[in-house]
Amino acid sequence: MPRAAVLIFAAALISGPLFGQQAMAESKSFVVTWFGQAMNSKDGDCGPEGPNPRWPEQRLKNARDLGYSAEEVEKMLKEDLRGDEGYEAGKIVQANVFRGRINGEAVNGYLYPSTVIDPKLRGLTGEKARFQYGFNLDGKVGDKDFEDPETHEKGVDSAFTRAMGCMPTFRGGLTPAAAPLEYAWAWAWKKEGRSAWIVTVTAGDLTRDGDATLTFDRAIERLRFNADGSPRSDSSYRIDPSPKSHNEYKARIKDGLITLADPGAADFSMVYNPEFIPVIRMTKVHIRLKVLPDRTIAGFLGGYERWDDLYIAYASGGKSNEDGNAGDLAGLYWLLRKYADHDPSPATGQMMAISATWNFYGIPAFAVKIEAPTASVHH
Amino acid sequence: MPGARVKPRARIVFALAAVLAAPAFAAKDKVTVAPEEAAVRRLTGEQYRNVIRVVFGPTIAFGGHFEPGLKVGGLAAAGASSIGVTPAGMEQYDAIARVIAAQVVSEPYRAQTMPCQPENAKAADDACAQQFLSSVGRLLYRRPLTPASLHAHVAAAHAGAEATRDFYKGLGLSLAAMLSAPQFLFRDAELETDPDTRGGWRLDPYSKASQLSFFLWNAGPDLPLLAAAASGELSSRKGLAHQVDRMMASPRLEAGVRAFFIDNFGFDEFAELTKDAVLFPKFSAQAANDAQEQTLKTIVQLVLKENGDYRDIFTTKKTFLTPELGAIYRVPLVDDRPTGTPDGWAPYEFAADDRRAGILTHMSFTALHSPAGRGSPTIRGKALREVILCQKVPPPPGNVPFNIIQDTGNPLFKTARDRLTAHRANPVCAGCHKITDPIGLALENFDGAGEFRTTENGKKIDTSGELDGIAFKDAAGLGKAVHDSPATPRCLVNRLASYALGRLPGAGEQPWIAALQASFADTGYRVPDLMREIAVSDAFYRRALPRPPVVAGTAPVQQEAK
Repeated sequence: MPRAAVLIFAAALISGPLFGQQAMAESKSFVVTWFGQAMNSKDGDCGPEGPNPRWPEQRLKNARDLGYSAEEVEKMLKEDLRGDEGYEAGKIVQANVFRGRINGEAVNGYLYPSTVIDPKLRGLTGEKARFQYGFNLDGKVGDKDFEDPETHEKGVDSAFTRAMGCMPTFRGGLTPAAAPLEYAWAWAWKKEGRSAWIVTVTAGDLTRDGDATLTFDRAIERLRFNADGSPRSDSSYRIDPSPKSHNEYKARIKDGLITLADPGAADFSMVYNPEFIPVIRMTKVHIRLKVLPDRTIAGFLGGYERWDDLYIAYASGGKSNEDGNAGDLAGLYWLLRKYADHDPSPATGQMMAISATWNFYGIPAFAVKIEAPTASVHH
Repeated sequence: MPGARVKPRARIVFALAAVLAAPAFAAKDKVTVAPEEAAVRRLTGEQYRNVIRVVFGPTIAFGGHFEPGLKVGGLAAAGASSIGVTPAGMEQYDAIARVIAAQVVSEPYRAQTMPCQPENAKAADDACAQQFLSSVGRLLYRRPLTPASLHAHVAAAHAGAEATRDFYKGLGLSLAAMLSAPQFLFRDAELETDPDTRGGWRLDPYSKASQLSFFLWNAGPDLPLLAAAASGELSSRKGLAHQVDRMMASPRLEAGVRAFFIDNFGFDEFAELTKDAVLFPKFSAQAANDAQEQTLKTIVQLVLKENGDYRDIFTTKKTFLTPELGAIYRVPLVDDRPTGTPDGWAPYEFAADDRRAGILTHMSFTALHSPAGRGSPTIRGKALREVILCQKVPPPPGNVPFNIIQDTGNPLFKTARDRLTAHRANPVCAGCHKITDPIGLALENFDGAGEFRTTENGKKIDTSGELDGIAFKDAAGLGKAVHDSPATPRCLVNRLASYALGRLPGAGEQPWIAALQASFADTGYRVPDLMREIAVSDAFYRRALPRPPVVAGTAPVQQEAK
């Protein structure tokens, strides 16, 4: 039996050198069991017209916007439904896939979304949309800013939430059970195809107020599951030594809430899932998380993110994503572009980044530095 | 007739040997025993598999299921002399035998199993068949085939070959019959006169070889042991000691040690163990398998490889873990072998202040002795008393209400201690719970699937207790108390002797048991020494003649050695 292949590490051995500099530090690690856009959808938060149309309805509207008359659209739909060419290869579908126009020529709308007529989808609006999760990233309290429903911090910048908040498949809440369809789909389908994320908190005494170190790392292993499909707590994960997914922050613990000591001063970069969002890249990062009595964590990650990263993530699945979960992809493009609120392009003035808030949950885990040479004990 | 059982005892054959032919013995047992009557034992499923693997190779596949055994005194080995084979069980044996035989005579296996080739593969070849059947028959029947038996098997192979026009198919049919024969399925107990005791009997050399081999290796005798039986070496104390030492030095001893502890701790019950997946999501078939193996590895390492004090298995911080168990025991452990390979094992030592110490804190004890939806101090305490201390705990009266104990969500009784305290208010219950609960409650830091916890329903768990007057505060303290209890090593001797004999020791054998217990203590509670002591004991091989059945109106006839 290749016993050498099985590595055991005492928690004390990994906490200090890997995750922080504190002498006699206490360290707790957690494997992320949910990561999604932090949504807080409420009835009426999209104004009197309500959320944007669902895709089957929207694509008929898109066909009309392309110049087809209502009668022509109805005729095309009837022909499509009759199935002579197969519904999925029908005229309405094809019209939507190739709804981009370059010099009058129809082009793939997912590849060239800027050539698609802006369907002018709605974002969150009004008083009922006021409470959204996030952080005041720019230090200002503007008219369009939100208020965090937990911390009641004002001036919350989360334009990504505003942009997607009225897309039917992006509406929902925080927990996996209440999560928007888009993220529930992405997590359920992709979780076993991506390396787990590990969050580690290190401090002299994690139960007391004081300084701490907070790290986000990517593991070598995938998230491990119990026999019933639930994520398995207390499993061990080797930390990917690549710096691409190592994020280390000075943090503070205050009344059990862990926040960054210098919010907005650092970036965040984690390899995520090549089939969804390949890399989560954020600037001016804010984080807050709590260790809950059941040993799990719940937290939020905020910052500015390139919106073209997000568009590519949703659009990479093309028609199947549009049909199955995301909705009008070109419409998303225009929403993201419209609500982007950071990092103006020197050439065009177009904002290239959008303020975003993600929420995450985690369960206890062991983080193991794979270079660590010493097993705790051998017989 | 459904449910009818074969009476193996009726098949016992008595071989009389000349008293005067007794060899000179180097030393005799220091105690005099009045042996129990001889009995044959059905092979356990594992023994069956071990024999087949040894004789035909480790890749032989088995079809079907073996009939469950019967536990006597908590040991399947002790029940093996009290069971037969039901008609349904016989069908299974037959099916398994045909599957094995078909493989043995199949083309890929012939090179390693056949000592000869037939002159014509489409016809009978009695010479080749006889060569094969006498060779494997000796190993399967654990003694040379009698001429009549060999003739019958060769004739069967001949008839089969003629009927199928295939030598190998015919041979396979005869082999299948051999594998379904009582001589294979049951460990016989042929007797000869014992030259050391006037009018006494003992196992004949081949039965002695089987007794020894199944005890030490949990498998049939190998060729050197059969040769020792044939030559008479095994009948001398010196020769027996030589063979015992050879077998004790073999790596196969580990299989024997494992087999005893699997039986001793009832690990066969893992096959039926289930847990509520909502309450104990980490419990899985993999975890259950690993849990048994963890404890076996721990024991083998300590008592066999390190030749340590048996009692230390209840206090040792050293064990072995897989990543599957690591998640349950909450220790960091990863396996960096390729994805998809089975979990590997690694040695691990719990920290000095860790609540886990000794096998009582292993999942193999806490989870095995718990119902599906909760832990149970009572069941755990009962198991500890009965399995480890050999103290009988009476079953509960039939009319006792368990509703308080089972109501784990009752806000008035948040912990198991609270619930059991309320339950013991019933004086009918108090007597037995006084025996089980103070020790079982020490393990309450481990839930029904063996995972660590400090609270139950939000209330801190109190793990203090006492064992026969020795107070402790937690599971580690309980382990120390078990370690120090004089009942612990005494119980092991009793159970190992029962396991070896295939039945509970009789009253007349108690002096031998007492001598083994003293010897066990003298050696510092070394299990290999105890196994050797048993293996070289005269008492291990002495037998009384079976009592003839009493027929109404007649007096039993006494048999004497001539």
